[in-house]
Amino acid sequence: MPITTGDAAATPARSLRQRWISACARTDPDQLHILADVLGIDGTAFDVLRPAENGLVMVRGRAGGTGQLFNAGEMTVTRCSVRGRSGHVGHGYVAGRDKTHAELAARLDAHFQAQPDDTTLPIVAELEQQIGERAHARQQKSAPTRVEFFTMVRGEDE
Amino acid sequence: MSAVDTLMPDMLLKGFDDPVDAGGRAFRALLDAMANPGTPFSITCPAEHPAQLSDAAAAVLLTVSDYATPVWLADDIASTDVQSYIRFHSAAPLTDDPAAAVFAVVAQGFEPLMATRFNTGTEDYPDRSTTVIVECAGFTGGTPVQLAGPGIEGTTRFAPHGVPLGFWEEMQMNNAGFPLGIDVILTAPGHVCAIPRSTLIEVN
Repeated sequence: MPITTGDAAATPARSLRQRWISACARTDPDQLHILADVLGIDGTAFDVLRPAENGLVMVRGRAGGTGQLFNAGEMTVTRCSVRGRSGHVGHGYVAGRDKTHAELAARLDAHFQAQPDDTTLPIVAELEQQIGERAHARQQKSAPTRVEFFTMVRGEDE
Repeated sequence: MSAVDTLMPDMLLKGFDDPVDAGGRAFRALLDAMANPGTPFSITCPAEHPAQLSDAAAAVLLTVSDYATPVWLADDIASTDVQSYIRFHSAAPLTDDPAAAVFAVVAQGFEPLMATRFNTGTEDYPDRSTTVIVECAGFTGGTPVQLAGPGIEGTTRFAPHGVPLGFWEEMQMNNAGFPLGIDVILTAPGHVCAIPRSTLIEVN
């Protein structure tokens, strides 16, 4: 499996739904609140099927992307599932312990499923761009602190 | 209260409103029922349940089943609705083999229970048997039987109606095989009543 980079839009095989679920999970909750308000998403329009709950998932990876599967460690995940008026079920899985974030993400998932894709696409693209920009800014900030490790060649028997 | 105007088929349904608290209360009701065979107990029920399953049977499944307990459903019950309900809320695997099931649900009706098709446990581990949820119409108005045994002071009379054909004869056979056998939880709207394998049954 290739290592996934921060840019969600880069992988073409992902469905639009996968993209918005990912974007909602990685967007700041405060921003999601604003987005939900703009889209007119009202909490009372949803039934909570699975109240937000915290849990752990095992993150697994392969060394170099091709090596043996190993457990990298556990991470905290919060999930929530809601049902919209149209009967669409929205799922939110977010990193961390923010229950309102998971519920917002679930509501947005249910909302987007009930909307035509052409309406949703620009919103998702915008979210992805913001995520990309934030990731870029973070990389810029941390780049100067990078330390290169190398081994000094020592003389033999001197 | 539901945000949806009408519940449509194939719509995923709500489970317990408060899974931790309600699950605990429902479990308590099951413990009480198992400790007092033949006595009905009211049970905390989920906010919504599929039409093919009574609210009490849904409550039992959501309370006791999880990813490690295969669930077998009778044909009348195994609708897409019920399957997705169980998968979503309890993550229990569904099995086609009644002998492999830890929990099983038998629909209300006159189909015989066929208790022997379930897992009755082994001599070494009699507890590794199937617990069968048997749906019935109500806990009164049926053919009365007299129950005795652990958890019953003296004897008690019990007359559920809408139990499977030949149910009590099968339960007598089941009791005769003690310590092996199945445990039965009868479910009627909002209520549960247990007939464990240890209960002696006298059909009048």
